[in-house]
Amino acid sequence: MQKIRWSVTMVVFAIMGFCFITQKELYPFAPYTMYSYPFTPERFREVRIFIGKRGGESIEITPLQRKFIYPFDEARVKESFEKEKRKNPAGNLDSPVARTKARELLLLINRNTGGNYDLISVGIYSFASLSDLRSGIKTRIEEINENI
Amino acid sequence: MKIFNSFSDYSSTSFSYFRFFFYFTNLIYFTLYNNIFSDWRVVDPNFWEPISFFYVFSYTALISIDPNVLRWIFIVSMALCMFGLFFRFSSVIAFFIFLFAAGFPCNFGKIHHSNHMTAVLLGLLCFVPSGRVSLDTLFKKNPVRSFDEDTAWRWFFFTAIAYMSIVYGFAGAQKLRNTGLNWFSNESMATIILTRPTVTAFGLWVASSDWLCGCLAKFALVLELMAPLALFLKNPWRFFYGFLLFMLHQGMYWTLGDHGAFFPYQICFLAWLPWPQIHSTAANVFRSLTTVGVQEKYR
Repeated sequence: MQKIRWSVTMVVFAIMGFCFITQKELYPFAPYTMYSYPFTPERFREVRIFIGKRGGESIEITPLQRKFIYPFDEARVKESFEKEKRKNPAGNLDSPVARTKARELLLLINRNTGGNYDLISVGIYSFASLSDLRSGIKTRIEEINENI
Repeated sequence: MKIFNSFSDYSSTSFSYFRFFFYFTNLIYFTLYNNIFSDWRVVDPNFWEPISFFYVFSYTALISIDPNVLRWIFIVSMALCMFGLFFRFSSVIAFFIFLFAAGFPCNFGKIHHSNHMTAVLLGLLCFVPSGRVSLDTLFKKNPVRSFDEDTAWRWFFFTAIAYMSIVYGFAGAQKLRNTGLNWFSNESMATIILTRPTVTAFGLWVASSDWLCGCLAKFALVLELMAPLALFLKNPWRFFYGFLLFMLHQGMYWTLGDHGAFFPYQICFLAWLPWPQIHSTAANVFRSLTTVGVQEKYR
């Protein structure tokens, strides 16, 4: 039995080494391949995109991590979106870049999932510098799809 | 081998203490505080994008499993593990249910990583007996055996601590590989804190100081990179290193708020506690209390 235990240890270490070298994540190993994105104000751009079907399901997507609003309930998505809007009243600028980026993502998702999702909203937070970030100046660009 | 020998004082009794608290805290956390048994059957199958472990299973088979039934089986098996009853069987059941329930949302894009360490530790626990203080031992027909000759428990603590310290070591190395020395900068740390949606008032205060952010970034990265060296330390220094890593997560929670919460990882640090010392202290206290009781009785 002791030999089996040591084989388990070796297998665990080997998988960890493999995941580290190849930067692949084999569940439940290698959570450490995440959390290493370069966080500098120049590089950091958080794009939040809500897409959804008009029946109800919605999804919130960021480039770093796909994140769901769960359960998929349009009213809840809208509510959380409104809440964010209230938190950042200084924003609300229109941006062709945000729109283009959102449409590109939407196409990609529809192509990959075979789904037919509509764009609900796009939110981009961008920070010009650390001092802007520290003083709480966030530029929020958003677009509400005219279909909704 | 020398490293393994530094775990020689871990006995079956000290393992029993760990076993009880580890299963107990995880049971409470994953069933009451953070329920991992959500119903994903209502989600559109278009979102199904299996991660590595789930490739081998079919979507229809997995989605037909009732999470409520699974939750109850998990609760029972974790409770059995806690008291060491049918441990060989219940530990395997608890491990596989946890693996499934914690990984299932990832297939729908709800990616999170705070449960991985618990899953691996639950897996390692399937390879050890329940320990001296357990119902399995109590109900055995012939419980007399040389528990301390068995190195199973030593193996468990060694592998669990080695695994955890390597995870932190790799996490530090990964940060250096992806961002170079930028991670050390105060700017990087301030941005991490300020861009979290749940940043706390304490986090805002920390981020306002260049000096503090710089210190935190350097301390966190050095602590992670040096984590594998903790294996070469003996208690209480190994425990102290584990405590610093535990506080790293606690600091993240205090500054980043819910976005920086890694409670399952923190629960895993139970493996770093000096259980042999805890056991001998508890035994001494118990002995002195019972001796006082006997003396009182016969006075």
